[in-house]
This record gives sequence, C-alpha cells and structure tokens, in this order.
Amino acid sequence: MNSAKKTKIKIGMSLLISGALMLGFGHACSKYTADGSGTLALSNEDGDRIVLNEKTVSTVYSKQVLDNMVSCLGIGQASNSAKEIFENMKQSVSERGKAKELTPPMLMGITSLAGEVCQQLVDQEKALSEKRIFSGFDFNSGSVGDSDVSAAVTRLARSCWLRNETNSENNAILDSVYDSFGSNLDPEDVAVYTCTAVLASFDSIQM
Amino acid sequence: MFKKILFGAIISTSPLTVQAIDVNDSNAGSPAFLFDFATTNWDEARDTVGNSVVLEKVKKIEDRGDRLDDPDTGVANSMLRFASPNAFVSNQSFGKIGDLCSGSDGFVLESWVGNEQTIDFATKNDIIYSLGPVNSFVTVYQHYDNGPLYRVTVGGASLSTPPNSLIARKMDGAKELQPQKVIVSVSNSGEADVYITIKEDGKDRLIPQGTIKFDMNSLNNANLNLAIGNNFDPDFSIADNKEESNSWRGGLYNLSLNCGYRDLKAITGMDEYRRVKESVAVSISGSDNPDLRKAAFLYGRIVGVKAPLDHPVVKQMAAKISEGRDGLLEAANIATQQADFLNITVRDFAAEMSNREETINVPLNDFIATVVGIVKDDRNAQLFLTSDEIYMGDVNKVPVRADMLGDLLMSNKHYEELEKVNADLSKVLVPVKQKISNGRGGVVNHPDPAGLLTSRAFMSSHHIAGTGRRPVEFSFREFLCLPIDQIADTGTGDANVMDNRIGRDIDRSPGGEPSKFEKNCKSCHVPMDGFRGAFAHFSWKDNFVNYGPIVGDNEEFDARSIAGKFNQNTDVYPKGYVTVDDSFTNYAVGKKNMAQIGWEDPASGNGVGEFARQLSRTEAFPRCMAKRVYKSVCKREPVEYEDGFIEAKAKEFASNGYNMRKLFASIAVARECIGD
Repeated sequence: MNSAKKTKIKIGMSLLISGALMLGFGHACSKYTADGSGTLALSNEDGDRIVLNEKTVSTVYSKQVLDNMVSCLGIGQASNSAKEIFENMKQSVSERGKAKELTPPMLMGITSLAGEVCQQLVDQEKALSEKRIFSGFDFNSGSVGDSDVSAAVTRLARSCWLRNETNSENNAILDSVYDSFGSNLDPEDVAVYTCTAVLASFDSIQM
Repeated sequence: MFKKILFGAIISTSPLTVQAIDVNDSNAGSPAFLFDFATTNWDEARDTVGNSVVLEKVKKIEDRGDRLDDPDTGVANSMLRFASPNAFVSNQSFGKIGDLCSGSDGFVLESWVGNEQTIDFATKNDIIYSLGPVNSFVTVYQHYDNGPLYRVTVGGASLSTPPNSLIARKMDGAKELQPQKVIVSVSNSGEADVYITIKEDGKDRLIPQGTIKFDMNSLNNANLNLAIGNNFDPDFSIADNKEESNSWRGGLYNLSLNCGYRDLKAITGMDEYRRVKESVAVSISGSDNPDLRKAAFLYGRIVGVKAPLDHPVVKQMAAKISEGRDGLLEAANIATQQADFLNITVRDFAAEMSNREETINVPLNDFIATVVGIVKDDRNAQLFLTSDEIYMGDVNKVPVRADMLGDLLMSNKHYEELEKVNADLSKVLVPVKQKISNGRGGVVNHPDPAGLLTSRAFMSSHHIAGTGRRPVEFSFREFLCLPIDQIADTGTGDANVMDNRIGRDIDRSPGGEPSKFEKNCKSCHVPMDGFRGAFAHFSWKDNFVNYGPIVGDNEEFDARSIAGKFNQNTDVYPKGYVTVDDSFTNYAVGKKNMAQIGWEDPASGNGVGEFARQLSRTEAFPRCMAKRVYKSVCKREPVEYEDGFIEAKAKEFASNGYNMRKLFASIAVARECIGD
C-alpha cells in the first residue's frame, strides 16, 4: 500500500475510531450501572470499577492484536509486512488488554496494522473467482457500487464485530468512503478502506 | 545419471568424519545443471547433466592434497577439496536471470559443503561459490568472524551489506570435515529462503534459516556467471594478494541449480506444523441472534481470537448454547478444542508464570511449552510441579534445530525457532524426559526433576545469582498465588515454626536493632529459608542449569556440591544455618499457613522434586490455577466477593483430575465471568 493511500485511510479511520470510542467506551465494564440499581459495584486493587456478574470490557492485547485480525478475516497467516508493522508498534500495545490501557498510539498502530492486513485480504480476494468478502467487487473495473460496499461492510462486521452492523454504521462507512475518495471509487482502494474502517474500530479489538 | 555416493576421506593432516552424501539427492527436483566433481581435474569442472557448463581454472593449483578419493569406492575426486588457493569461473555466461530459467518463478541452488577450519580471522570472508554478475547475486561463503559461519548473500550491493546477509549455522568440531547441505531457494518476487542441514542424533536435518529480501531489479540487466573456489572476489577477479592461510578450507561435494522457486513444504516435506487460520464463507443475510453472538464472544474469550459468526465452530457452539446451561458448558468445551486455545490463551497463561517480570511478552520457552503440552494432552496439572518431562517440538514434524544440549539446555534456540516458523503447538509438542548438562559436553537424565521448577526458563529467571531464596519465593507466588509476604510467619508461640534454618547471611540485628529482625525480616525468612535447601544443588551459570553432584569440579559449588550462594557472607551472622545438603524443613505450617495453603502432608524432605510434590498437593495449588484461569478468560482478577466461586472451581478442578481444559471451560461460562 502506498503512503498516500495509508495517510488517507488513517485520517478517515481517526474520525471513525473517535466516534466509536465516544459511543462504546470510557468505562471499565460493559454496562453503566447506577448505584442503588441492585447491582453490586466495587473496585479492585488497580482501581478498576467492577460490576459483579457482568462481563468485563477488555481489548486485544500484545501479539493477539495481529492474531485476531488474521483470525477474524480468515487470511491464513500474517504477511511479513504485517509482522514488521506489528514489531514496530508492539511497544504501544496493551499487555493485559485492559480497557483503560487503550491509548492513542495503540489505536494509530492498530490502524496501520489493519491497513496492511486488509491489503493482504484484498490481494487474496483479487485472486479468487468466488470472493468471500468483496463478492460484488470487480477489481479490474474502475468503479464499485454502493450496494457492493454495503454488502462488504456486512460481511466484515459479521467477521470481526461478531454482529450485523446497524444501518447508521453502514451509512457512516459509506459516507466516509465518499468523503475520502469522492466519486472516483477505485475498487481496491475502497476495499482496503472499508476493511480498515471495520478492522480498526473498537468493536473489532474488543474481546 | 549415475548415482554416486561420496564419502569424506582422509586428508593430509588429520582424519575426517566419514559421511555418506548422495550428491543427486535433491530437495528441489531435476537440476538444470549439476556439478558432482567426479571428473574434475583442476583444469576444468563439467556439468554432469548436460555437459553444457564448464568451469575453467583461473587460479593455479598447488599440489597439496586437493584430490580426495572416496575411500570405499575408490572414485577419484569425489569432492573438490580446497586446501590451497584455487578458483574456477564458468567459461560462458548464463545470460540474464530471466534467461537462466526462462518462464520460471525462480530457482534453487543446492550444494554440500564441508568446512575444515575453525580459525578466527578478524575480517575474513571467503566465497565458496557464487552465481551472479559483478556484485554477486547469490553467494555462499564462509565467514570467519567469531568462528566459522556460513553466510549467504542475495542481491546485495556488497558482501557485507545488511540486511541481505544471513548468518547461518556454526560448525562444530575443530578438525573435522562435517558436510552440510546448503540450499538457497530464490523467488522472482524478491525473496530467497536459506536452508542448511545440521546433524542431530547422527542424522542430517534440514533447517530453514530465514528469508532474505532483495531487489529483483538489480539483477535483470546483468549477465550471470558461476564461480567456485576459495580465493576470488565477487567480481571474479582473483585476489593474488590474499594470504593463503586466510583462504577458506574445505570440500565442495556438489553444486546444482534447479529452475523454479520451491517453498518450505517442497524443500523440507513438512508443512502441517504451521498455524493457519482457515477462511470461511461469510453470509450477507445471516442471523446474529443472541446465541450466535454469545457463542462468538465465548469463542474469543477462550480461544484468544475472534472467529466470524459464520464460522462452523461458532455455529456449532451456538447450537449447544440454545440447549441451555449445560449446552453453554459444552460450547465452551468445543472452544477449548481449538488450536489457538493452546497457541494463544494457554501460551499466554503460562508465559506470565515463566519469568520474574511476569510479562507475557517473552519468547516461547520450555516452561511455556510444557504447560501447553500438559494441557494439550489433558494430563493432570499437578505435573506442572511433579513431571520428569518437558515438552519440545517433534523433530519429525517441524523443521527446527533440536539438539538437546545446544538448543534446549544451553540456549532457548529450539523454542524460539518453533515460534519463528509459526509452529502450531497443538500439533508439534511432544514430551521428553528432562535432561541436564553434565558441564562437559554431555547430557544426562535429570536427577531431581520437578516439573516447571526445574525448567530452564524458571531456573534462569530465579536461580541466577541471588541467595537461592528466589526460587522458593516464586514457587509459592506462581503456583500457589501466595506472595512471600502472605506466607510470612515469625512463628512466635508456635513450636512447629522455627528460625533455625535462617542462613548466616541474614543480619539478626540490622542497623543495630534486633527488634527489626524479629518484626520484619524473620517472618519471611522463616518459611523461605526453611525451604531453600531444596535448591541447594542447583545454580544458573554459563547459560545452563548446573546441578552440583553432576557438574562436579566447578567453582560454583563447594565440596559437598552445594552452590556457593547458599553459604555466602558467613560473617554476617556466623551462628546462622549452614547448608550442607539439599534438605529442607517446612516451616509454613503455622495456623495461618495451614489454613491458606492447605498442605496435604507437610513434611521435611530433600531436593526440589520433593518440595514441588508437596506444593502440588496443597489446596492452594488448584485455587491458584482457578484464579489464574479466571484472570485469563474473565479479563480481570477475581475480587474478594468471588472467593467462594474460586473455591468451588478449585474443588471442581481437583475432582476433575486437575484437567486445565475443563477448568478453562468451566470458569469461562460462569455468571461471575460473562454475566447472565
């Protein structure tokens, strides 16, 4: 992936990630639980707020960051390029997967890594007659339709968000595609961008 | 083509290893050219496949035993031995790289090379063979810095320019000719894989050394030539000014080139060992019902990575979950059967326990592999502390170096290579008896094995330097989840808890205040020093676990084979305990410790094996494993309110034969972990 494309993807991803964080983050547990609601809340030694009998919010950690991308996209093994990017970013990655250890450098690193892994996915898809994720994409043509992008978002969400995306999420990604590329929708660029948008979002790195 | 078996033979100065080599046994198929040197007469060497390539002498030979005959068959010149400066260069060009193997995606160079010299030269690099233009494309040469190493360079601007250089295997034996096969598989995409054989248990095993990346464009415009020898420069000019004594010495048994790139599986015949995440078809209109979501979430928590909602295993788990609470546990059991449960979740679970910093960011080692292996084989987790085995990669399944002494006992190379080749631990790990170095180049069965406590990783973390107390401290910390301050006990008023084992190096009146010792120091040292004798025969020195009675004459141990660290600083408190053997006394038997540790049979004993056996039979051990598993899959430490839950899981774990896989599943599905 060239540097201009990476920069474009990073800017778009930053906006998406900020939105995702505002919606789904900022606390240590999966639900806000008001005192007096009948749910017992307490803190542990690390100052984490713990709500008993609720699952703890956590993120991918350490090398699991790359392993998880490879697994949810089903790309077999990470490319050497992806491994190199991970090696360069691993100092910024949480070791324990605690939600409060999610930092801007880690998110930026995840975005770069996601871009590389998505490029690997797209390269694989281009060689397939029956594409798994970008089934409507004709990578030899000069354009791609909205419905094909939407379908790809759905498949990516089912792969890495472990749920179907909402309409507003699908629309947000489509809008972001147009904001980044205008009407000149090169299928490969759009595929990498769409994949990165999903893969670098909070729902993908949440475990 | 006739099949010729070559043997190393006698050279003029010293006997050589006799080694059968089949020069036609290619890992890459039929060659485009092959030099077996059977007819080489030192004026020329001919390609024995098509007779189309001739290497002409460009350096005068001196008659100093350069002809080697096969001692069994009498075939002359069975190997081209370079004992004095010589070089051959092809009389014709192979054309450009694209012409050499037209229409092919690369090529493979193979050779058997035997080094004859281990002298260290300051900056000596001697090419053995080279294929390329000026500033050679592929070179294999001997590098005498820090001992003889093969070095392969591909597409580099110069021989010494990293990162295109790859240091390969160090030769063993100062005076022996030990042939090694060297394979360079070059892809037109700009990557070259290097393989070299090493000898283990009398067999040559082909080990991948790594991949060199190069710029293919640097090759396309230059014609290729082939050169062999021990006294030429990359541009094929003969370096008359080179010191003869610095020239590479050794034998070249054969050299062949096969068209077409060959990957690791084609070269080694092994591929099934790798971790590969499968691709699944993803639906656009599939359901994401709560059971499916829960299954996918549970899969991620247990396996350590996510799988798509459409993954067949996730669907299978969802079907079980729809059946109710029992089905949820069955779903979790399915997740624990996935390879990455071992490769990620259990690996990280073990990694944290394997080092002093308690970080998971450590290379794979014998401690981690043994935990993963025991879980993989559904064996009793008490073996963490009692096993006389460790786990390693099966050499018949995975191409990594596996010399017990050099790669497992004296270094961590075996495990690091397993990780480097992305080995699937669920497929390749096998148990082997714990071994120990005798300090004289030999390996013997471990005389006092204690599972992970006698692993190289644990010993190197906790028995390096120090006073022999840290292994005790971390045994309790890692396996009973009891930091030393929690088992601290002065023994006041308890006749069973005494301070008579505290060593001479502990000041009984620190700062001139005896009360400080009584109130602060003593409580930790009573139990810790009581146990530390168990480790008295061990020490970590020269990068391997030393066991006094076996390594013998070693400045690390006294005449009784007690590591010196156990009796150092004797003048601090001369009346303190003198360690004279590996006996220990269990002083963690006060009221508090009896309750929190739950000894089955607290007793005195000898050696680390006995110490570890007692730890494995405590109530604290299964409790600790439950806590660690909780942290692993529930993503936080359990809190005090959950003590009852942990206790129940610990008892369930023990009643299930200490099966870790079941413990992971049972905790992962609990309300305390994932909610309702």
